[in-house]
Amino acid sequence: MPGTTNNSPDPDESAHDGDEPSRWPGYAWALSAAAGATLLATPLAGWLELANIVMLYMLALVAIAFRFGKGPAVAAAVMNVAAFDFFFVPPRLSLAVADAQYLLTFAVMLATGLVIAHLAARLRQQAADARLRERRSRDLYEMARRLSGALADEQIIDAAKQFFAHSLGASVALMLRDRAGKLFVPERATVEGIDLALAQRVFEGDSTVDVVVADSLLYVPLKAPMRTRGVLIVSPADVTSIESAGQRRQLETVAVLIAIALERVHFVTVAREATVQMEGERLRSGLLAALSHDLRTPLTAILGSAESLQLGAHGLTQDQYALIDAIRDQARRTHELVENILDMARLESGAVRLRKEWQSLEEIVGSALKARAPVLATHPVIVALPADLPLVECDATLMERVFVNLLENAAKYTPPGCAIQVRARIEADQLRVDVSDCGAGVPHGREAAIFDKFVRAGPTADVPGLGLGLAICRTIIEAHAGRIWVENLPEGGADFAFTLPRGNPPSAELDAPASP
Amino acid sequence: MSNVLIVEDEAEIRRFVRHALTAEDVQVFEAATLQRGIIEAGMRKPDLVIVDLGLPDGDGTDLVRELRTWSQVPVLVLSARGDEPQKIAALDAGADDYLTKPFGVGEMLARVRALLRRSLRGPAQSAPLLALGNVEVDLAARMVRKNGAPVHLTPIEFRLLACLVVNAGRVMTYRQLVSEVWGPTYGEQTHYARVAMQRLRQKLEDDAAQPKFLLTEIGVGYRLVLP
Repeated sequence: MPGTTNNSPDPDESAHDGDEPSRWPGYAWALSAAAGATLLATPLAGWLELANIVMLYMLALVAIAFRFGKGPAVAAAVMNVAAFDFFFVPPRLSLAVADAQYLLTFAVMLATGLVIAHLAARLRQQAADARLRERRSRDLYEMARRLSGALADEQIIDAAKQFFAHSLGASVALMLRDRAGKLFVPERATVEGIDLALAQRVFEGDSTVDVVVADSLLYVPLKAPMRTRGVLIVSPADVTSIESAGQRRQLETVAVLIAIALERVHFVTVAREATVQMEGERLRSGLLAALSHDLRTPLTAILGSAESLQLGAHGLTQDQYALIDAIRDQARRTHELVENILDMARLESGAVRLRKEWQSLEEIVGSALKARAPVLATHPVIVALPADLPLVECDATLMERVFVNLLENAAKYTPPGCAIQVRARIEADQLRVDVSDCGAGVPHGREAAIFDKFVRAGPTADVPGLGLGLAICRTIIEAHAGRIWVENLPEGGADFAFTLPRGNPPSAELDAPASP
Repeated sequence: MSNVLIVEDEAEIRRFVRHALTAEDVQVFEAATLQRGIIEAGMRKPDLVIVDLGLPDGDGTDLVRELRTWSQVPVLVLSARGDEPQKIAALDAGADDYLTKPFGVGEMLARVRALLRRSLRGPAQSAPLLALGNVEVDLAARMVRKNGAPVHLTPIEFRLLACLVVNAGRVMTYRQLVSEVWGPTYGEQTHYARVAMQRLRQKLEDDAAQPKFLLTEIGVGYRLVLP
């Protein structure tokens, strides 16, 4: 049947006026149907009542209406009435009517013809619509299938482009959300004349904004359950045709399907990356643990063996005793270097989790002093902490490390006998700690650099070390949301200062009667 | 003559520990694995067990836990620096003290002597009258003197001091102290112990920042050392 088995994309198909693409043959057929009915009825005119001849005309009309739709059917109705009047109603071969009752026949014929024409046309239209809808659903299913199998944004873009080209004859662009939450246009999915500012508004718009039409482009937000994944921009051949309610709903459905597919792909990517990262971290921390164990064990054995040799030292000469001392000292120094390297590696790999608790600064300083008592033996240390200093929230072990490194530095870079001062005070919402010495201070211009890894202050051939101590301090302090810096004191010496957030120290029940 | 069992997988470490302890007139038994350690502990009935926390066939904390089901023998654990949660777990499981590798032999001998003394004396019979340098503590009379002058302690401070005195030589974790002094429901409020200790030190120690007997085990807890 011409005009109904049309499978090519044709937006005109959705037109609602019932017109046929093959219009003129229809009218020709209408004329020939009237003529045919007349020719058939003429030889029978002697036998048939006029009422039955009307039936022949009606039959022809129904055939035309079903075959060619409304226009030809209306034409056929008019021509039938004219032919019936001219050829059969007395006086024959004249449009005049002798018996006035035939006027009623004409009217009924015409009215019935018009109604049939209308009904037939509507039926045709409904059939065509149903076929169109079926094709669209098929396209939609096909796209949904492709979307559900998509593993990358590109596949989603291709599926969307194909659907719109095939089903609506429209070209589309997709703007997607990147990692930072910004819109971008993927290379292969663009159309002419996108209003980027408008797209951004649609993207950021609240849920009340659906489809925005501008410059014959439609902007549809791609709303997924978690968040808006981008904007779909449709460039249809005919904007008004897409404005109808059914079309719009379909467009929104498609947008949701695409959005969900994009979100799924996003989370698949996120999950994959998390797995890779987790494995990397596990590998790193496993490596660090093995390394620290394998380095520490021999050092423990060397130190312990040397010291236990000295315990029963009755048979040793003074030289031998001193040699064992040297073994001990070197092992201890190596151990400190290893600890620094491992600490830095651990802090940098993110393998360290802060065990933050409300700590007493006095305790941490005391513990650091005790840990480095041998190094500090030649330097008097003055600890001046206010008695009412509040607790500070930090990781005690790491904070002890900061003090150990600062004290050790002060002892290393200043002449023996030079006093080291540890002070602390509350400054607004921060706790400020100062570790100062009376040495030569930090060379001018090196104040920031000495906190970098493997950087040391000035020519220090005689002082052992790797330049990691201060870098570790900085990493630890910054992990505690603090700041560390150095300034030279006007009276000489360096002042290493750091701050920690004061926070909101909890109270402790110190006098409440508790269960014994 | 005391018996000490050392459970440690590194032969070199076992060797010098044995060397140092034998010189102290202590008989040393060795085990290289957790399983062997448990068997030896049952067989030798040692007066002290030294356990490395990282054994090839398991966590030393498990050995401590197992041991505690049938024995009150003092346990000294050996562990790596930076592993405070592991140390705390071992102490909470019943270990008495810990040493961080690498440790000095002198330090180890001091800890071993303190624990052996504790093992022989038994924790229940701690002396009611105790001298800590210039500080005298009389638990029975609830009396504390410094340089002969009475020191006023709040009930909480006294209870904290008493808890440490009764467990002298042992490392007490913050959680253990808070549960003992304030009650088990306060176990997570570990800062209570720190605030109370700060006050106690200010009252009893000559220099609170460099205490002589109320010692800090940073990140782990406190220890009272007898002179």
